[in-house]
Amino acid sequence: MTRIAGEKRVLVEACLLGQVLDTLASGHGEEFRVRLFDSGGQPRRFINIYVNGRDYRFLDKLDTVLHEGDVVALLPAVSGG
Amino acid sequence: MARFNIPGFLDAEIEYYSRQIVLDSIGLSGQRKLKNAKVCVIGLGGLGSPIVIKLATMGVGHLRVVDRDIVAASNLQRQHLYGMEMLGYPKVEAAAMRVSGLNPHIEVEPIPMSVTPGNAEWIVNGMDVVVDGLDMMTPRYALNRACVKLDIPFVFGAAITNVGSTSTIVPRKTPCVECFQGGIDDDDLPTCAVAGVHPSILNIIASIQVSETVRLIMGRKPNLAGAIMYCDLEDLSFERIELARVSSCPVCGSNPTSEPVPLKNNSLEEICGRDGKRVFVFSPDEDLCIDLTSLNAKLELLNFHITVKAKFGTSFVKGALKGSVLSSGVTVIEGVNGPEVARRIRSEILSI
Repeated sequence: MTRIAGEKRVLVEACLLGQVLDTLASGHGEEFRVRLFDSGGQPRRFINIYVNGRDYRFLDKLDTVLHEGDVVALLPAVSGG
Repeated sequence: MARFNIPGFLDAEIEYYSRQIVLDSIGLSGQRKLKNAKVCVIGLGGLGSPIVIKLATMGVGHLRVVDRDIVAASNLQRQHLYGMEMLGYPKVEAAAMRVSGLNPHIEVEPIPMSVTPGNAEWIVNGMDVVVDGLDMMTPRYALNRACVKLDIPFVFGAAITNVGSTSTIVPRKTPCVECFQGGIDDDDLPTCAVAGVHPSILNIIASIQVSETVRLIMGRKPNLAGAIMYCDLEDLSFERIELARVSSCPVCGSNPTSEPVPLKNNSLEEICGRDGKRVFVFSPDEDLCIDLTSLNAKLELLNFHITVKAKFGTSFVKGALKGSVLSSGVTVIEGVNGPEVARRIRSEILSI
């Protein structure tokens, strides 16, 4: 996804995690959106999403409230070996 | 007459490890810790191969190596424990032979089994560190749960195409695998048979895993305790993400909000095809202790052509069908139309 977006770190203004993802998707084109979201509009499971190091599935998912300085990390879930 | 006179070490061992004994981070006391360590490497594929080679040649005294597979030609591009002469051999057996040639001063304990929810605790019991060489999440979850329960550090690693990630789980101190990469269905992720894998990313991730394992053995804090390192070979970038423990994690949390999700029963799985053929793997929870002599006789009676008769398993062919049975009862059948045909053939071969 970095290769689609062309950057690894971006500054985003948002109150909720879902808004961050929508902003990223809107700003980096359809290919990025398709990679990030499934047909139901949910983040694909093979993308790990952390808010300050915590998996968003254990927080309030896309409704997780964010505060200034929070770090949202998107990492591919790698499983092979 | 002993040249070095170091208690507990042969001169040959001191000579062998001389290039790391001089390292401040290891030294003689560290070498002694390595010699006394028991490490389990689960999975002897793209990651497991370089991990085993490095841990063996660094002098880990006891290596328990676990894998259910046999050596195939497509493995040789990246699994450098094996050569052409080992095609068709159980990987644990080929690994043990190779390691004995690399370093005669250590013990190798081959376990030709799959990791299942039913046997993961048994497989890792008694080990100081468990190192991940698996290629699917379901057995990783089984392993993670066993390691958390038994308080054994687990060095997670994974790689595909040109990317990889690794993290070190110290039970009750760091997030576990299901804190940071839980709830994944293996069917949703690509396999290297489809997506490919560059040998260099495997070696990078494996090298980091070995470094973390050695730090654990030395009694030093692992660099990736509580963090995940993601590497992309394309631009040679390394991203370190700090992870946080989740109190509600059903596996390791201090305040779990649910039971751990039941893991898929992997006693019969269809895995990624080889040479365009469907491949089915049967994985018993327990070691069935198959009498290979009797098995080989039965196979010949049924007009299978045996291609490899090894100590830990047998490989065979019949027309388009290829298969192997390990002494534990793990059975791989490829080139049949579906699971029921595979099941029937297995029942016939094993008389069960």
